[in-house]
Amino acid sequence: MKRRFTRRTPPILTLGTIAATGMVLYGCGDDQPKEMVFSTPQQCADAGVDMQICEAEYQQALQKHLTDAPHYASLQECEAAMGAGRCFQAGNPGNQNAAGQTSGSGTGFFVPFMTGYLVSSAISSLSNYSAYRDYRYSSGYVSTPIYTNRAGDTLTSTVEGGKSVSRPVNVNTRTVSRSGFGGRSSSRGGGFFGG
Amino acid sequence: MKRIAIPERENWREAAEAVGFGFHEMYGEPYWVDDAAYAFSLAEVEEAIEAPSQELHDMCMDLVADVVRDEEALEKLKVPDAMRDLVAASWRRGDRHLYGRFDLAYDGTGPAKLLEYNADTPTSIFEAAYFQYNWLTDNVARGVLPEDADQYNSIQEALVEALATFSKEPIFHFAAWTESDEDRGTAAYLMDCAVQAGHRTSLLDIREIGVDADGRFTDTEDRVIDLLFKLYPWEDMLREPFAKHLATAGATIVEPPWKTILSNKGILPLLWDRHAGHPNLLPAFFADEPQAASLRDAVKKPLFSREGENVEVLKDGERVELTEGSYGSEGHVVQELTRLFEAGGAYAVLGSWIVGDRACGLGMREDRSPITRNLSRFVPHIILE
Repeated sequence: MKRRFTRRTPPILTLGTIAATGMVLYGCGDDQPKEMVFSTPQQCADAGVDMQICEAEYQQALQKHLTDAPHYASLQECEAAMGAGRCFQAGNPGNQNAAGQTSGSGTGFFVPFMTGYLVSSAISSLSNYSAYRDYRYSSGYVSTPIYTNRAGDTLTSTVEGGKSVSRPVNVNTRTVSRSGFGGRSSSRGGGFFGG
Repeated sequence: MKRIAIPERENWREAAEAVGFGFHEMYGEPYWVDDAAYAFSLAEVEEAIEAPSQELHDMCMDLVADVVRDEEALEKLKVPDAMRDLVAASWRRGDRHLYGRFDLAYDGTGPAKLLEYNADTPTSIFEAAYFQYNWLTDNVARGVLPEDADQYNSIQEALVEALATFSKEPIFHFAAWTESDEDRGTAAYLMDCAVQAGHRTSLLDIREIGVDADGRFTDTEDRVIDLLFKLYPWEDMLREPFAKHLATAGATIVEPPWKTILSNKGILPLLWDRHAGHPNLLPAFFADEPQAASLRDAVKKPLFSREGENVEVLKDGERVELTEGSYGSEGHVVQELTRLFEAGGAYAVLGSWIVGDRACGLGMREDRSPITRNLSRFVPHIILE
């Protein structure tokens, strides 16, 4: 018989255990791996992540920044959204240096500076570049450029309908109320929904 | 289909503990069975389990498309008035779903029969997708099972693939009833699959979800929740205080609101009404319909029951068994009684997994009573010929 469904090695658990995942990511304090925003690869390496991984993540975010950054028709419009001094004229990639700043006076649109990039918790726990490459290859993960808007919120950018739009992701806010879900289960003794 | 004895792996308890599968024992009873297995032939898996599961899922999706536009059906399913637009909108938008588990009765003869669809908050997925797979590779490696022994199990692969289709921009939050080892473990396992799919993740308790002044959901660090997996029933969420924020919170929720239709036992009579006589369906009616009385040997279940609570077995019209519980106030369905596979005083139910829209795996649970409850045991399976 030819096996149709399974291989000879079992599936992997990236985080090793479903209990530790629960414990570590569920409020066990300081040692929990968190996604981190860095402004430079050096800052990333200083936080204990492999330097090669930090560089690769930065380059990827930069690539994505050059293609996906939110576009504005004028400097005024861009600065109104992102804040004074946070925008530059793009549209002529040849003039951009590594940080995405432009030196020429092209005639393109305006985009914000990339203020940082996001390294995921899964990446930051990988021990070397080869493990990182395997992970990226198998998951399709790409690091994310980060922008800061006028109000100081963290933004990322996505392309929707062929047009780049900035969209706040997981913005910081102030919670005004909790425990609005879970009450009916509490009244039944809690938990166990599998049926 | 047969139940066979297999020598248990000496170190399986340590192996279970090592991957955080602490609930291999529950309520002081063994939950994971390492010294037995259900054996199927490939033809049996393909023809009696995989193909019918796929067909049943497709029938269910067609049903949802009609029910979201049918006030009478929504009334029968007790979807709260104020929430019907939310449910319908999530279907019209094409909100993606992740997974579900059909419970099937099959004894090796005749077609498998649908008992119910756990389409909203199914558990036992870690056991089926991961630990059962481990059991197979271990037993092949130590020569207890032949090299070509297979298992109907592409569940984890399918989960990673399905999770990869959700946006990777926001943090993928996972909410569960964290005091329950089983619920927390299930959420943590799915979170691991999400990490494998390239997501950033964070786990929180369902009660810790907050709202901000704009009605957006928030996590414990006061970040807005944009993408949320919740191992918590929609029929409860739709009736709790934060339900009023669901339409405006802007969060993508997995399973999506329209799954509240499929996790409702009311789909059993609705499916029977559309496909009466289908080989994989049992006759079923809402308890307040006159035809319900025509089923003399039957099972009466609440629309929203979980873990086999408040289920009543009727023989020749008389109640012969009733389980305790706290469900049932929203109404019941009555479904014809069917035979389960029985071996050595245990009754087996097949848990047939749908991930994305694909039938992709099997987990067997058995119980000393014909009503599968949370004291059931998980038994691995193999495909041998």
